[in-house]
Amino acid sequence: MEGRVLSIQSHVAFGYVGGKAAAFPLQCLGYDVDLVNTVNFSNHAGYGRSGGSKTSAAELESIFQAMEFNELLRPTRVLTGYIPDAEALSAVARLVEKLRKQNPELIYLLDPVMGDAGRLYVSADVIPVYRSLLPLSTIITPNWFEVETLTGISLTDLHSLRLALTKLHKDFGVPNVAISSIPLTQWLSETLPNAIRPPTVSESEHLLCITSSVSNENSPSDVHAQCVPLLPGYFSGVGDLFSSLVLAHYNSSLESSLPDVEVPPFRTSLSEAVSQALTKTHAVLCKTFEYSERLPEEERLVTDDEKDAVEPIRKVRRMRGRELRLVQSIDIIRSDFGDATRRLERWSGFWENL
Amino acid sequence: MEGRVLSIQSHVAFGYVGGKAAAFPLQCLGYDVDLVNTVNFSNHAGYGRSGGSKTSAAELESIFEAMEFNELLSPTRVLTGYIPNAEALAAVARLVEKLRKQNPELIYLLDPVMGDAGRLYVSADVIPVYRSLLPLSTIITPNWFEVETLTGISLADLHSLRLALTKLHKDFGVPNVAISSIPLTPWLSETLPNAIRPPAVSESEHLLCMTSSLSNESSPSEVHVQCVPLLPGYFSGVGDLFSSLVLAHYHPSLESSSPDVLPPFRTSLSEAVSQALTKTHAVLCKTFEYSERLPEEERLVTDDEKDAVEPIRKVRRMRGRELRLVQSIDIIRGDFGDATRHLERWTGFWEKL
Repeated sequence: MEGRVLSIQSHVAFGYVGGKAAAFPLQCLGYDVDLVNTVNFSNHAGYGRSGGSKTSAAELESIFQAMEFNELLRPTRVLTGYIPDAEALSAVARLVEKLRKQNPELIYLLDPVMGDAGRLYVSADVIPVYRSLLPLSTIITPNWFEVETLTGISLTDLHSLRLALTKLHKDFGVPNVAISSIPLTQWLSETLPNAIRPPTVSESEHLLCITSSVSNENSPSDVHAQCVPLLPGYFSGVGDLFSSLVLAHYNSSLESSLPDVEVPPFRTSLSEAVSQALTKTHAVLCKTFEYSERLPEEERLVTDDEKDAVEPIRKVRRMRGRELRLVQSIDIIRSDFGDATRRLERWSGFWENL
Repeated sequence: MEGRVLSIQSHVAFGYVGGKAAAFPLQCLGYDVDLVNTVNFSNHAGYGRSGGSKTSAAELESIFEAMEFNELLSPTRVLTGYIPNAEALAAVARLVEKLRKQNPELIYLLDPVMGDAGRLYVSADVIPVYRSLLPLSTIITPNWFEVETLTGISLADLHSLRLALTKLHKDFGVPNVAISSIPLTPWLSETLPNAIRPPAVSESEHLLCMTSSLSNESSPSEVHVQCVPLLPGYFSGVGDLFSSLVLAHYHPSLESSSPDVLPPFRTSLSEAVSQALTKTHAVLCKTFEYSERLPEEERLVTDDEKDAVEPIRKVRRMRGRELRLVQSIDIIRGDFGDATRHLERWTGFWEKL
């Protein structure tokens, strides 16, 4: 692979989240990566305490302007992630708009980082700015909560999920949506095709990954899905790694290129890219999980809100022990899993009336 | 290889200098790298214009304190490079002092980034702070000018070079010194052992790389050298890449382990620098070849008059010469075997002429 990725995300000195989780995999896969740091922190927020600062909108603009002046703003791909406030996000949006005009073929992966598990962790005034960015994107990688926040639709059944995807594709003009790490609620599990649904006894031990790609104006999107085993415990940076791998593997030319580089039937460029990303992300997560399980006991103290409140260092050690084993996963990142790839399968009945 | 490197250097959004040149090679070689950015710029200074800001000493300290609180300051190796002013450098020095006390086995590579080609590009008040850091180091990677600046000795002949190395090892307590990219002046070339000196006709087309390691208290240091072909043109980030590869390949236990692990007449430093020199030169060649194949307007030769009238010439030249680091992943991870540019012992270095 080759190309130049402009990545606009967070920077942490220690550990792997944001740009730190994205850069190494992209570089390993052959991409030059230009890294604009929207924050410069010591570590991710999960530790409790961190030092450093956010990058102001003015400073971001001074960086963008100098890059423009030096003819350094010609990426083939753009990746935006965590941006701490609406002002900075607007500066990024203005840049992306310019880049999109300059290069209609630009591949832009927008990770609309706003919150998780029902909670916003940025100011609500970023929401309209993200909505304005949606039409400029090639792919978006929201989590379940971010889909709800962007669309204003609460995802409680298949009908609301369809509405939300329709809104993203038709109203907001997003060509490709990838949602990883969806908890398998009952209604969701029941509507999955048999081929994708995990055995009933282990449903709660699985997460769902869904992609949706607009094929043409008239037909609904192509939806694909796959389940992965759920690993216990909270690991940071997984979504950031996933997004970077989706971008790395996404080859939009597949659908229109030479016959021998065809997309196999019932697959899309997005489902192919996400299959790779899901497989590799899960493998890195397994490696990380196994490593954390082998740590001395005091480095892997289980989440216990009472004990954690009394002794904050418990949480710190837990977070530290769970940092992604990214560097140790260089071969995972660079390899081809062949038949072991966790392929997303077409959800052919997704749009049909029940 | 494995371990954790704490790297305290510059960050540029575009291109490969400072921490950006150091991180990827170290990560490829298996090291977790913790990156503290002393500046956050759009690109390196060679382009002329850049945007962004320097990290204040206070902010660096807030990062260090949070890391300490979270028990995240237990690196096995430390690498410091460009730090923009004396205040920030002093904050880094305080941290390194603490880390050294905490772990006497810590491997600390200090790149005393101050200037080049006879010119300081930082404020002179960093010099005493760097001198205070020298005794904490395991390896230092000054360029020729930085050796002169740190020691106050003008390197004009073999005698002054010996004085400077003695000062670094004895007065400043530096165990290992590596100087890459030394222009082969006649006096230097003439004193080189025959086995190392390049053919007279192509002397000006070579650079010298030198290492000096303290062996024990009483004997002078062990000096090793090698020449590499000089590639025309200025390339940024080469020294930063070199330093990171020296750190990656440095294994101090070699000297005390079994006889068949370290070949005779080599030191841990000369071995590490042989690897670093080989790989750095290979990356530079790849970069040079790439830049030569660019369209003409992307590789306009340095011409001070034309550059002054049309600054974009210099911008395009710099852009076309950014290290092809990502494209060199196999070089970084490879083993050159017999093709390694081994530094050879300069046996007569300390002998009276």
